[in-house]
Amino acid sequence: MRLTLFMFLASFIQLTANNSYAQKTKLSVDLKNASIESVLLTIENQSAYKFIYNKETVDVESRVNIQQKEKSIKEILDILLVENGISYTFYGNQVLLTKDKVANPLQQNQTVLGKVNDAAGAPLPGVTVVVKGSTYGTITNTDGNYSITSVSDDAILIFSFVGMRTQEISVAGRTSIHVVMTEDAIGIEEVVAVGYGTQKKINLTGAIATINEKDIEKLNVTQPSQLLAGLASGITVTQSSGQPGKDGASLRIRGLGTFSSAGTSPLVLIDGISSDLNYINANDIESISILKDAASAAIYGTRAANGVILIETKKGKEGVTKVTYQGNFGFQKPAEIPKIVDSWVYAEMINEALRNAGSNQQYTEADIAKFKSGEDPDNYPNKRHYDDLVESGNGFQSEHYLNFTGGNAKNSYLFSVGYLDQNGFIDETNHNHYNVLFNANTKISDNFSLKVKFQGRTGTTTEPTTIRSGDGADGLLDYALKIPNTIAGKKSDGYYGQQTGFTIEGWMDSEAFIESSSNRMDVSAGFEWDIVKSLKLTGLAGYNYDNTKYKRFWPTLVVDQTYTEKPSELTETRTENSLLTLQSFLNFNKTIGIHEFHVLVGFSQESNTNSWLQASRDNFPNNALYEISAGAPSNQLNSGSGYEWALKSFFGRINYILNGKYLLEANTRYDGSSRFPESKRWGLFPSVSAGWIVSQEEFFQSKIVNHLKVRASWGKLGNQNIGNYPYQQIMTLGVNAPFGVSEKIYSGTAATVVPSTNITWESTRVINAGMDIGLGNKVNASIDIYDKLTSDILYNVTASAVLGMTPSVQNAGVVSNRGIDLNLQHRNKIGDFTYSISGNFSYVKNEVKELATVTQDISSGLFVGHSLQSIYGYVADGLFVDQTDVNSYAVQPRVAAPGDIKLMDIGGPEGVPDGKVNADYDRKIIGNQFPKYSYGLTFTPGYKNFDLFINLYGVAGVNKILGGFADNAFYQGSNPQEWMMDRWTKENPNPNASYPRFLIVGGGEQQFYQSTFVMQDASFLRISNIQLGYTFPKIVVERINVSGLYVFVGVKNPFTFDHFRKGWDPEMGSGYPPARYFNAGLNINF
Amino acid sequence: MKNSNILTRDLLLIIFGWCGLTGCESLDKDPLDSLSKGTFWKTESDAVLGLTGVYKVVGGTQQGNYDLWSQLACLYLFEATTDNGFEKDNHVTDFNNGSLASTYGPVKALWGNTYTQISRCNNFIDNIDAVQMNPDELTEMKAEVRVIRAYDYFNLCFYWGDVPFTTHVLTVDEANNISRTAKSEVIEFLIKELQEAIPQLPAARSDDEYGRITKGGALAILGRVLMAEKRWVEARDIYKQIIDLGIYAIDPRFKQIFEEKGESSKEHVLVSVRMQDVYGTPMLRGCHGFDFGGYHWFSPYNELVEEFECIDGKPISESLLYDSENPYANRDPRLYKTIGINGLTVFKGKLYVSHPDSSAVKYQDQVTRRPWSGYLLYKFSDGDYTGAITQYGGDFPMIRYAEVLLSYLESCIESGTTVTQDLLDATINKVRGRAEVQMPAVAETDPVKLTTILRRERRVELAWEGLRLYDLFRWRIADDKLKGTFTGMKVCPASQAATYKTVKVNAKGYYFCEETNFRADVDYLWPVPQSERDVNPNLTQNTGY
Repeated sequence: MRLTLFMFLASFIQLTANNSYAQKTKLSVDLKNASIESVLLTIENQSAYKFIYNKETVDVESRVNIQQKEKSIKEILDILLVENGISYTFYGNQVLLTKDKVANPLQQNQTVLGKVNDAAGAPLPGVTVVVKGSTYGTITNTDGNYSITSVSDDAILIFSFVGMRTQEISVAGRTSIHVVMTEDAIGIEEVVAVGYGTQKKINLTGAIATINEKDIEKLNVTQPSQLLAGLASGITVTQSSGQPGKDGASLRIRGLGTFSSAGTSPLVLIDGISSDLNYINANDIESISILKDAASAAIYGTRAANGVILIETKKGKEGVTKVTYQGNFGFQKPAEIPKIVDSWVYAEMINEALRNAGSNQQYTEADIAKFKSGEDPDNYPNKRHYDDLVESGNGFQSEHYLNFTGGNAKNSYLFSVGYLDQNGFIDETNHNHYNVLFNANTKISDNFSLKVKFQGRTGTTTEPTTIRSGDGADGLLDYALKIPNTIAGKKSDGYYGQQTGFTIEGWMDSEAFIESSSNRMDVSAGFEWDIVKSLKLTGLAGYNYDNTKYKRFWPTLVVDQTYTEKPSELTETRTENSLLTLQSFLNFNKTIGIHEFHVLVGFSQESNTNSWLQASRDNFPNNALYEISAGAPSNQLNSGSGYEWALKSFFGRINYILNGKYLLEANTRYDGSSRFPESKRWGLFPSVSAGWIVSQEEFFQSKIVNHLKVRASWGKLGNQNIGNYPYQQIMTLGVNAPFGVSEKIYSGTAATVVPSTNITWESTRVINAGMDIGLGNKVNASIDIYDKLTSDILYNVTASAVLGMTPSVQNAGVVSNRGIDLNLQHRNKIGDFTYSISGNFSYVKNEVKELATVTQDISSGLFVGHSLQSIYGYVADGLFVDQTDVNSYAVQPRVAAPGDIKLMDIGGPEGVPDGKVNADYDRKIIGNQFPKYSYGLTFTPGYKNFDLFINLYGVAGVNKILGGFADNAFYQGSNPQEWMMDRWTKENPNPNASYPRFLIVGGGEQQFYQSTFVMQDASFLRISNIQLGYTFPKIVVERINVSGLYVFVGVKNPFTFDHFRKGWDPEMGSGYPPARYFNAGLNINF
Repeated sequence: MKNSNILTRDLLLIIFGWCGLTGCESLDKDPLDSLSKGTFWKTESDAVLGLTGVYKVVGGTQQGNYDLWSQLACLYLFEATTDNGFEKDNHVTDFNNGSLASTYGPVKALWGNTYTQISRCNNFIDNIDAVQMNPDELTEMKAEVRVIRAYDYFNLCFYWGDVPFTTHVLTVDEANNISRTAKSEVIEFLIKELQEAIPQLPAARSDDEYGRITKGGALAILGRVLMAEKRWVEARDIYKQIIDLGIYAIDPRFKQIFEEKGESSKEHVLVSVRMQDVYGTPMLRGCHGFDFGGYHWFSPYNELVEEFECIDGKPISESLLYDSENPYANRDPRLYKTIGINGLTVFKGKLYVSHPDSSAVKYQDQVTRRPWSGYLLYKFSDGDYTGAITQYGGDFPMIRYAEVLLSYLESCIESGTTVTQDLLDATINKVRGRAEVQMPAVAETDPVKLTTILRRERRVELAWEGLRLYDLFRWRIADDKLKGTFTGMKVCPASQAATYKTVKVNAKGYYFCEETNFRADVDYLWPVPQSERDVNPNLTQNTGY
């Protein structure tokens, strides 16, 4: 076997080889009794030459002895090849070997010439022309001409070009073949990944969305989960933080299928093995398939209820070694931040709040004047804690990606390394990771091939933290929002201004940090064995391992003369998880006349073990030492645990295609899971689907519509991701308490959970109907409507606290999701101007159908007949204008005063308003937190060598309540924000002011009640990407010895349109603000 | 045909061989860190594990997660809601401001945590009989658990009236449909429980078992129940039993019995044990002033300060030693050990300054910086403690012998027992006369006059120990005491009060502080939490909510 690693390194070294290479390069070969092939390999290894030959016609197995020193390539080849009846021809560094004509007088070989044009008659350069069954071929020149020698009479030539329909043409003795390439109707010829295999898109009967390399390349995401935003219909992507390392997005396919702990995250498989999307480098992704309906997902049975995402990584391809480098760098800035009032405004406002409560003023006029003048910044500062914090970091980011790929008829490989270093706009927030991917395929014999994959990632996220108050950057931001500008940062005496010991600047200056790192490795090996023609056995074994390390250090910190934060403390947690997957499946493909069959049967098993260990100590000798053993032994604590689960499955699929237009498919999976009691352990998940390619019918004659397919499917899916042992009666350990004069902690245990002894999985039934339309090769559209019903939802029946335990989940809920997914693609070319637009739109109506025996569960936001994540609360009717208003209005739940939120009396014990607002009768569903509509659009215009990429997405029909410091002034001392300036005052008793009267609030006040007053419309439209690129012309590129060069500049998240709370992002809510990222980069192909 | 059969066979072999080769994974997985209930409740060590789980404070140490067995929670719920003082962040203001509603978080927290402990007790009692162990020890453990459960139920009844009542572990359906049982019925049950458990408990514990319920602790709990029920004769006899045990005594120290140094004092009848770092409490963070690294959550009112007599044993309204312009001089020594006073109290070598005219930059506890009264809760501040203030290990003295003696005297008076000087000397005068306090002995034997003295003594001696709300409710004086204006520290001489500008003061120059509005017809019973009624339609609500 070829030493692939050595080969690509050698190739890399010789990237700089130029055209005079053949003359200059001297080679040495000294081999005895070696096959010609191995000699060729040796030469390839020493040089940039690549040999191209068809093993069926060229005999490279013959043994030779060759001893040549410092000879030119021609000298060597003459000895090696000509004597063995092989001819050679140079094409740059590629050397084509053919069987010597003389030696084979019977074979009719000839040169074929020709020209390739597009439909408009323009010549097409760069079209690949290959002899079918070999790697032998050429590429059309700038005039669209090609010439290919040594083609046998009966050969078939394959013409292919990106975006054009591939054509196969028999030579049939001709020496001149002209070809007109037609544009490929978008995606029809495309092959997409489906469960345990691939399928032609045209033959699909299920609802599958795909995203390909081209779109992925443009996005330059830091976490692959961000990729999907706006690129496909039926998927809702929510990014909840802009912090480096925590900026992954959550994905929901077709609504929220469940409200249980089983979760709504789709199953993600990378190259067939369940994994995590964010563990791979986006640049390594070749395609993403999103299996949305039961027909496509049922083959994943008990884990498929939330949809399945299949990722295929890039694989090596036959041909010369290609090296690609991609790099980009840029910087991030906060995109939207709340505006905090200045210190003197704060002082005036808190005085107002105190006045409103009839209390004493905190600040005198003189104090306020001092704040304004700025003469005494230590005692009367205007320290902008929040702004300074979000501007403290440089936000610089850089990413590098290097990819080597190559191979021959037997072996192919891909090797890539990626590196990302991301600084946040808050100082000390950083994320970096390295990715490696190695994919190798080798053909051991004609019918047996092996593949091996290694994928690894090591990443570290660091962030500053508060000490003992709130973890990480989020904790700092929370307190930066809280601590008013009237409190100083670092003062001239070196001490810090503080609020109850809280000091943003002190914490930032301190050695406090949180570091989380993870090391992940996914390895797999598999084989494909064509046992006989049409029967193939595939086996795959995969092992995923990851360990994560979390380390949090709180140093001692002298805040000021009166307060020192102590003792120092270190907590470290390590987690290990490993998943072993074994699967094997058999494919049977047979065509009998007009009947085409594809059959798949298989088996898989997965077992997962997880364990964690935590340790902590305090009182470190100084703040520079933060490894466990450096801490004082007096207070060393540790804990740890683990869990296991296993899954065993049998699955199968039958496809039947009649006459190329009637499609039928059936899938099934039989799953056994360790999470369920023995009697409920095994479950069957079937699906059937059918399709009809109407445009293939003879009666169908349309000039406009060239492709029309209708499809329908039905199937059942499951969800097993509940606790690991929910059916077992367990006594929780660790319920410890101390006793004794010299205290000693005793181990204790308690029943904290009521087990559910006959628990089984959730099952989801999906009906899908869809249609695909292609219009004149320029427009491609698809529409799907679906009805998804999840029953036996594992519902943690809300129990009265009188139970004293948490009830374990029961199969007690039903949720329906009905919706529409629309996709539209259009591409066109007008002279030098090309463009493509792809848009998608989804609507989903989510509804709880059943909830055990109740109709509502207020604390979980669940109401029969309404969407999951409903917001339940009071209806507000503005603010009380004055005391008369208060007196004449319905009695409020709390004693109301002018300027308080006015809650409406909408019901009573008799079903009509009773003049009193209370929790029993006057709350209703006022909003929902999961978007009803989501949409996305990608627009990619290009002109000559320039291209532009614009990507946007949005959601609508969604609400959010921010709450806490973000929504309330003077809550535990928190800051007012500028939007609160529009509040009720005695002087301006505006019933429609944005904020009620100022008060120092404790959390029980009316403004903390869920009501329409505090709820916000969280719909938004985000322009998420604008990128301008330039492809250097070949003539320039060749001069610098590369085969392609592309440069770009871009901005991510430049604009968001919404009606949300000013200063806050509707998608992210409170916490680390969204980042706006400006970048530039380049791609080079060698 | 034959060939294809062979092929089929080979294929099956391959598929299942692949599985066989790797060893088919078992789908039987058991928890790795929990005990399976099927194998539990067998041995004595299981019983000890279960018993410890019952003692574990459910609410833990978090602010807002109120629990009867956590000191911090008791200060919030039963002191900062009374005329003894308040808490600066308005976490419990609704209990007396006329706004108490069924959605109020603290109500839900205490309710939930109490029922969680009851459930653990019920689980223990339901299962313990299956354990193979010494039957005496088994009976004793069971008695402990019954006492804990009785205390929990007593408090539920005391604050909510009729409550859901069960002595067994419920199913989810049962819990979601349970009705409230009449308070009288629950009280009858728990009195009987306590009476049965008391003889089964040891009078004293070994050093290792310190903190577990003893006979004295159970008797003292029963005493509180009987006092609340006004069953004075029985209360008197129960308290007499505690005294007759002869194992408790008034400690000569006053300040230290509330600190780590005072742990296992003979005065402690019932304690909730705390252990530094492992099972600590953030008590000190809540009590210490800002200038001492704390959060200064609690602020005593001047109305409490006024209750402390002068050293001549007379109230300030009568004592000649009292100087209204220098009110902090010549007072009961307990005042200085209970309350931090501006310019007087020195803690860890540092003066406590809260006066509004002090430099706010220099003194963080200055009253205008936060809603404070200008007084500090000083009783529990432990000057010798150097560890993390969030992880303090001082025990929570839930019932002290001082309470027992004062309650004994009260039930003697109320039951019509003749008061003699001997009785006074054996009770109130022991409390007042401890070495560190040495207040003059009380000689008043007139029941009415003595009641006033006793109630004052009780408020002063037990100030901020979690008993004030209990007393206000059972004496039914909350509507009187918790309605109106409360003041803080003295800010200026009375003569300057009219012109004093910095803060609002009353005519005597006391800082105006807070206003309360306790509703006599509503607030004596707390609302059943809304979240409970949301899931259980059978739960009725108390009047007014």
